[in-house]
Amino acid sequence: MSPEPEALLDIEGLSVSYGHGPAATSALRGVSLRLGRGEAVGLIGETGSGKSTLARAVLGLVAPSAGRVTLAGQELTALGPRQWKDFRRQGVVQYVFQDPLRSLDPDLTVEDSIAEPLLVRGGRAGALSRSRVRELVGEQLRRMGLGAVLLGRHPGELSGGQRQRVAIARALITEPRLLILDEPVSALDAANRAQVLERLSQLRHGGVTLLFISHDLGSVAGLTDRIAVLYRGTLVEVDAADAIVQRPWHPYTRLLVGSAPTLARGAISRERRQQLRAELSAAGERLT
Amino acid sequence: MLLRRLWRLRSARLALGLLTVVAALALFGPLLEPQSPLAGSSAVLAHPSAAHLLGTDYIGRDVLSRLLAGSPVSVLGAVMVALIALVVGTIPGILSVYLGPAFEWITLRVVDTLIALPFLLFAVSMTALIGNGITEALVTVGILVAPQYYRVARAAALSVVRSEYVEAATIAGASVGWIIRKHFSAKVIPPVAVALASTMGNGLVVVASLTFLGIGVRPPEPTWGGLLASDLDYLAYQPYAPLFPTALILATVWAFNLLADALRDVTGQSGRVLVERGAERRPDQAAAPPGPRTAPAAAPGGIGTAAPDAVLTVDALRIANRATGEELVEGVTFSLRRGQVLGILGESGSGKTLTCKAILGILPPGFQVSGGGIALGGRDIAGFTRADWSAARGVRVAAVFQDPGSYLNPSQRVGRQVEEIFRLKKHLRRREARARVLALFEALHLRDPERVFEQYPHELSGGMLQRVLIASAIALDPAVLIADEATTALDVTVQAEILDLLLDLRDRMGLALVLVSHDLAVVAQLCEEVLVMRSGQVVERGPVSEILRRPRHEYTRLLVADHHRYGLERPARDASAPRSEGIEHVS
Repeated sequence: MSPEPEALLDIEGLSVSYGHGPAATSALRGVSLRLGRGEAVGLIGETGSGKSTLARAVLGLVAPSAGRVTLAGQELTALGPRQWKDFRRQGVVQYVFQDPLRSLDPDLTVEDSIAEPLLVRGGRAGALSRSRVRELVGEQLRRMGLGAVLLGRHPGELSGGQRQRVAIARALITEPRLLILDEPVSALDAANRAQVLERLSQLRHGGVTLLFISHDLGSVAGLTDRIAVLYRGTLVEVDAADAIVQRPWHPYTRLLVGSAPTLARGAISRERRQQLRAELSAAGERLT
Repeated sequence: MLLRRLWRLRSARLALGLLTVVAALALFGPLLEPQSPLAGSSAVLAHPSAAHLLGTDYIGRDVLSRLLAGSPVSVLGAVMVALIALVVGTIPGILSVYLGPAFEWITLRVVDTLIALPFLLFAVSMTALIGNGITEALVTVGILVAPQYYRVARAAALSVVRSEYVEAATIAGASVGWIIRKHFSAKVIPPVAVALASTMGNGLVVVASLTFLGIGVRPPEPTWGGLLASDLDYLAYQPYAPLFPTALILATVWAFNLLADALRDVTGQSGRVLVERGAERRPDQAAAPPGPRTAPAAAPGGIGTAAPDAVLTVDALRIANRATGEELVEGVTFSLRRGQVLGILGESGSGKTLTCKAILGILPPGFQVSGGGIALGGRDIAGFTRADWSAARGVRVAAVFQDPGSYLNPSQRVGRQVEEIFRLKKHLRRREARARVLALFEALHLRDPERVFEQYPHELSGGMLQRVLIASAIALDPAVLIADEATTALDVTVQAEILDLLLDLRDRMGLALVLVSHDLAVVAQLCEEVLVMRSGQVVERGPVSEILRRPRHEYTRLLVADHHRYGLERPARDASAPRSEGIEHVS
């Protein structure tokens, strides 16, 4: 890997708050993060830490109150609604939702769902023919380890694991350069998880930039180059994955690493975890 | 598409057949009249005969001809009412979701007002106000029915606009038009179609009622309602006369309602599955109904039998679906001593939760223990009476499940709910019970027990709720605690706190734990022994360390390999570690 990878995604001083006036709560405070081309980064944080907000801000689904997001040379935070639509239609960035039960339209067939990101582009110049779209959809489906028989089915006829694989196929159909995944495997059983992780690791080696969002360090650690730890709207630690796992620095990261269940029966003892919790709450931070 | 699906339902075929007849009457009825509906004759109030199939009325007009002549106004009137309501209701209903809070507020108030008005009374007074014509009457009724469409369309629009698939389409750059065409119409059209069919039925009744009251149509012109009104005046001469218009009205309304029901059955996701495929390809969604609303708790009964070595024994347990005879658990055997921690590893559908429910005596309806047995503290539960169960739950065995919030009453303070256990089962006074609860909360590291006691479930985080549930589960010092995916929905740090807590309880009280999970690492972390379940069978068992080192079954091997490849273990072992950029601390 090059020592100074050119950034594909550059987030600078991003802040997001919800609500107005005195009722406003700040979900993200001055977060800066760079993702190099082809890099796989894990964004770890607990419920309410702001990790989903960060993804939504990058995708333009929430408006930041401050800061700048640049993706593939395009400053996203400067785009107007029309420009956003045009930018999105290029398919540079795609998103995979956590819950495959809700992220597919129950009334669309698998084929229509997967083809959607291509079809929304409409009949503009350079649009793909119907048969070419079919071909691409079939190919993505195959790469997710699913048979062409599923094409005509509806989500209600698929298992949860199959749905998530369909949702990932939909995200990949535009050949995005950045793929953001929100807990992509937490709802899956072992066989489906293995299949999805295998595909994601292929993508990683194929040069797609990946941003994994998860509350569980353990579920993505092995797939990431770097890990960013988000705690209460602030990025507290960003480092190489092995460094985070072996030499966590911030007390929260240490607790996070120490809490993640491993086959090796605990990185740290119950007593040490107890100490870290006390340390964090002494710092005026409440965990539960 | 919709029609083809409808056609598969017998009731829909009947409804469509009837409605075709009604439509034919409405369109061509006047052409079929044997006599002029307005021409009187000397045969006043004649009984049915060959000349007058349904007899004549009080000035000798042919009843059949009048019924036929009345069809267009009656039926088309109903259709018009429904169409007016459709336009006036559906469009604002959809727009209310998109056009911002001002439009939403105004339309909602208008709709509330319309719903509050007494229906027929308002229609009558409106015709007095804007003129006694049929069109005026229909428009009035249409507007009065419109709120139903507004609500249906708004509900459908809300469900779509907040969905993740619409968000996914937005991320892909879909235009509003695309979203309406692709995602929206399929959700809005079915409920609106159902409403349409049912308001046509209601509309027919309303038009009949109005014409019965003489509103909208002037007397010589025949309508079904008007016919009914005049028939009533001559009931003494022709007691059967009201039957004809009534039968027509009822048959039509019934057909509309039948159609509405059929539409409801075949539209949407469930309808598609119901009609097209049958049940065979539906994914198994672990259809276990929720257990009891409170964590099992029980009295300190006079169970005198001295506890033998094993606090829980499960022997070749089999559980079957009563209806199909299909076995979902096939021969599970294990036993548990005091202070022992047993892990059951498996996925949804593996039978692990059914096994737990059998131990607790709360198998969902339709399931039964079909073989083997379970003993709690040396007593076989097969012969347990209600009283035995009440005495055993909470004392011999207790449980906590995933989603703690659903086991608590949302409208009661959590402290009171735990207190109840002590009051009911130990017959403690309120003050003592409260003290016990506070002590429990304290022991479970709930911050500020006094405050938590007074809080409602929605004010507590998932981790705190699970602690409250654990508090009620261990309130009566059970011998065995079953934790079924009890930490699955929690953040990792909170999960670790709860797991630590369970181990503390084991150390302090000698609690025996059955830890049920799909997560190998969680099981590995806590348990000495593990059972791996797959499709109702135990496919592997033994000491955790052994299973981690030499997994034999394909499924266990997959789980272990998964962790080594992608889990936390990976970066730690990875020699070719990616570059390290040092610690970036941003705050």
